[in-house]
Amino acid sequence: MGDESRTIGSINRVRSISFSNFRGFKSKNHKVNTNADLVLISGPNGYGKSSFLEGLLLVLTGWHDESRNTTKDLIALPANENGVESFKIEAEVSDKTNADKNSTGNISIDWLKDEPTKLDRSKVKGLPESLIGGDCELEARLCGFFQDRVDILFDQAGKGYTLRDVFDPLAKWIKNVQNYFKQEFSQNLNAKKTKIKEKQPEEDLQTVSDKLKREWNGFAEIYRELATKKDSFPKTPPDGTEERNIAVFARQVLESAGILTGTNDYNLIKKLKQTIIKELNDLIYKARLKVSGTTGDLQEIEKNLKEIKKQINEIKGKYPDLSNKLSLFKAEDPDDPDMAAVFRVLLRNAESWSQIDTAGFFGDKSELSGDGRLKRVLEEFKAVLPDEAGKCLHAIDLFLGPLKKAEKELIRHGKVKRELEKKRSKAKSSDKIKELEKLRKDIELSIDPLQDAWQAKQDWNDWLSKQKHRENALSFLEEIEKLRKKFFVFADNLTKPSEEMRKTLEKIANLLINQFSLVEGFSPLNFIQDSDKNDRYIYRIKTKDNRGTAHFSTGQRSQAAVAFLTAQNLMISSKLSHRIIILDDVTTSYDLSNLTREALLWRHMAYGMEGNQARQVFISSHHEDLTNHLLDLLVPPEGCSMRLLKFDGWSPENGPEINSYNVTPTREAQKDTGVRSAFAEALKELKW
Amino acid sequence: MNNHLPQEFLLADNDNKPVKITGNYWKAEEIYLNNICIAVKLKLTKINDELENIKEALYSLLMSIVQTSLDHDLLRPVAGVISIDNLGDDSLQKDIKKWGSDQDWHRGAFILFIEHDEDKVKERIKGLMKLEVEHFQQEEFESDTTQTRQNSIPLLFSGAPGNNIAEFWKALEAIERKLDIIIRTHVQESDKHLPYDPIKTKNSIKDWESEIISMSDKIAEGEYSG
Repeated sequence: MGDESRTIGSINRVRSISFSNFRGFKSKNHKVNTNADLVLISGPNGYGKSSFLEGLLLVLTGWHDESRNTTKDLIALPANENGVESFKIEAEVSDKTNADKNSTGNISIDWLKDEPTKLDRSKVKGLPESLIGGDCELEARLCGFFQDRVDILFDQAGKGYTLRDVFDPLAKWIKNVQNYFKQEFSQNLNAKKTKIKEKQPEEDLQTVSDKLKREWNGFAEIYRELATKKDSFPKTPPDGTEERNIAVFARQVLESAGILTGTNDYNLIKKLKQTIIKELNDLIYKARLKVSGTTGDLQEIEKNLKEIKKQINEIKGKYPDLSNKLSLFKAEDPDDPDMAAVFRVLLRNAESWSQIDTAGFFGDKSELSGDGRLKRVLEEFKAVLPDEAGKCLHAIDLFLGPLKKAEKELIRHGKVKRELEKKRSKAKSSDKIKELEKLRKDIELSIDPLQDAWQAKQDWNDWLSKQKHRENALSFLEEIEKLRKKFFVFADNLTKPSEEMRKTLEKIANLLINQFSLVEGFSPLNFIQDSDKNDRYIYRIKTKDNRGTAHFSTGQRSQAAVAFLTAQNLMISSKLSHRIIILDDVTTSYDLSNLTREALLWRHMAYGMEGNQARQVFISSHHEDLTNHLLDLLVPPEGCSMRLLKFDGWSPENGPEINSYNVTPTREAQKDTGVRSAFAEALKELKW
Repeated sequence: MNNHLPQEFLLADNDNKPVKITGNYWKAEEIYLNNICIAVKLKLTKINDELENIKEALYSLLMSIVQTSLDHDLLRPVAGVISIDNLGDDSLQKDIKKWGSDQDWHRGAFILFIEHDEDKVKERIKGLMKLEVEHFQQEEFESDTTQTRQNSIPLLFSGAPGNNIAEFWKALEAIERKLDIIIRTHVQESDKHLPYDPIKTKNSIKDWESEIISMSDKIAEGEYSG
């Protein structure tokens, strides 16, 4: 294989392929000659036939089935301790079926295990440009059949692009918009309509009107009493039947209080309430002032009261627990002397007492008698020095002096406080004030529900005034709904798959499947345009009797898959970067009848088609009898070529042992070279 | 359907007459040969006999053709095509129809197709000799879509506005114009094969929807001035 890398326009022929450390292809450079229209690969299980075809598919498309093997698993397992770090597949390809060296190029994929694991077309060097676009999976499943993963060939089991994406890439966004129009937008539009309709106030109009009348009349009764106390207020509130009269009257009240009103009626009663309450507060204040004129200024009283309370608190703060401390030195009986008085008497009389002749005064009294005990006390007092009593008195005075002073202050302030409180109470309470306060309370109680009723009525007025607008809005949304439907039809037309494409695909697939003449009810297959859960456009395959692929037998599934694959492959010829068909173990699911019929299809593709419809076909088979039979069926005519690749062995050290044979063509039959007429004459002699 | 048989593959003798061969029970009315296969149009000439004899004679005939092709180094699959519409006998038809899939009998040495009428026979032979898959261009499939697109993009509202929507007709026009722009932008991007961004699409449609909702609110509140 040449070193130079030359890119060719499209691949019509894989002339040879070599593998290094790819799956079972251990060691380097397993180079295999594949330069033929049809390559039949035979050999027992496990000798590397499928790996050969998987490697071929990988180098042609950049795709491998990640659900089966990670990219790392594609590297051959080492036969010894020396780990293998990479694999490489290289193919010599040409854009002509019968090409000389000058029209060939190389494609190769060389993957090191440290590289990103995701493989794609970009990893393959020298690969001609694909016009399919999207992912490489579609291109792979349009050319590669593997018996153990047939389902992936059907659109609904594949993951990536479908044929529709290739021919009609516009459809995806339209479909998304269409889905949005069908679901989310429709819901939002309906929700908006409902919301606009639901704007009508909850309570019906009559109830609201009745409530306003009732609340107004209740308020008016109280108001009349208020009006007697406030000369400037209009005197006669109207009946609550007419909302307009209420508004006029409320404005008169407001104007009488000097409040200017705007045109907005919504907060009229709220303003009325604020104004009336303010006027009432003024009346109450003035009444209080009038009462406090006999007792002094109420404000002054409050001020003095506040000051005296402050002073009381200061004393209490400075002398905490004052009365308890003083009680320690007080006699229980107020008539008895306290501790200071005792020392004062001692100081004053100690000297006199020392001169008393207690013996002469009391005689020899027993200590058990009263006089005896007094004699004993006097004797004790005589022993007291006046100075000592004075010192004690001085100490007690030092301690008790400030406390007693504070106690006196508290008593005095308390008295002042009580007097002030008495004055304040008197200033506050008078019959007129009480009357006004009651009126204020009544007003408050009646005007709050009136305000609610008024605003409810205003809500109604507002709703009624906007009825026309709402109708407009609903009509607007109806027009949008029409637009939505029109767009839906428009989008539907845009997304509707080309019926021509579906018909063509169905026709080709049935043409191919017709080669089998299968069980009745199976053919013709119908291709139903559909989309899967991922919103991909797919064709679902159904039998004539409406069975999906899940209901197919193993053989039917294979046949349908090959037909689907081949039909799409032939349809998309102009966009393919290669014209290779890979069929791995395709014989397994066929009986002899269908295998023979299928062989006809492969002969057509390999030997019978021209231009970009011709295919190089790779077929593997592991069953020796079937392989031999197939070999007979596929023998090429003169001018065409076939190679037999026999996988004769496999070893852990070297991988597969492959022998490549050229199959000798039989005679050409389309031109009359004498053989046709000879054959015709021979047939005429046949007897049976 | 053009059911002309491929005359270029019809086998002729030295006198240039199509080869017809007759033997027990069966007549090979036409024999075709090309590089793909040998196809034989068969007719049952005698039906009032044991079915096994008829079947054995057919086997003998087709195997003889296989052997003769081998003798002439023309190894190809041999396919027999039988029309059963002239047989009349339903049970015979039913039996013959099973022979094609009787692999114990043919052992894959030849292929047998059973067809119901002469046209199907012709169609079958034609398909066996030449697989004709139509060539087509992508444009053929796109034509419907493109036509629809071109016809549909102009304003979706049509006709004069009704009285009830006259007041907000401009609003509708604005809404429609914006949708039109969204569609045109997508079409242009698609035609230029720019990558499709579903989030961008969704956002543009969501913006469009917000405008509708906002417009409907304004109209409902009497704030839309046109």
